[in-house]
Amino acid sequence: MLYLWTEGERVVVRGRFDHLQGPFAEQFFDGVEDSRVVDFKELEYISSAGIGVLLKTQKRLRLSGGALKIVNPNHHIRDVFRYAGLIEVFQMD
Amino acid sequence: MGSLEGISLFVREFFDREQIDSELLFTADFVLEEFFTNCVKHNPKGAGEIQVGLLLEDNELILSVADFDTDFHDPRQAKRPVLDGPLEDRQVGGLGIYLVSRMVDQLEYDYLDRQGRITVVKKL
Repeated sequence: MLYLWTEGERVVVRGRFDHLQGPFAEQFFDGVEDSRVVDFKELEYISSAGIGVLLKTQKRLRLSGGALKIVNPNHHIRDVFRYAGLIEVFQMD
Repeated sequence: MGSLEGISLFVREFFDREQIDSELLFTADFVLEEFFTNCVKHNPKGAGEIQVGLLLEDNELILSVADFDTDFHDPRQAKRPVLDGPLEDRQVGGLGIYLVSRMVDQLEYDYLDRQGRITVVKKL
């Protein structure tokens, strides 16, 4: 299960961001129109489907000068983003 | 595609039974999700059986995904994605197989009589 909610300028992501959750997550992120900090503190797992949703959102926001910044990934998720060459793209800490 | 939840449960039961370090759960889930969803996409009828296997042997975790009616799709021949440079050059899809190749020690593909099997080895 994946839970997504907004706390001020922050999007909190909890659970598993997998292929099954792709359509729900895409709908949520399609509604994001400004820069956001995306907090992965409670995210256990992400697959390439989840990364695709975030990358699509990042591309769209950059066109209007915005960006997603990902914080607090666990070490597995950080490794995946590093392998994908996406650490800098998402300004990961 | 709802079978992904079943696969995740199957993996956890296997890890518990074989007392495998839970640090490897992320890799096992990632590998099986990637190849299972790829099989579903490539399955011509969208309804054929797809078999997922887990085996612990000689300190290696062996994961396999088999499709019994599929065209030839060797993941080892997948195009390498763009991994650096500006954001506009990055593609939204096509990362999965490359990421799997970075996470595991061995990746094999067998194809015969429309049966395709991907086998991945992760050393413990």
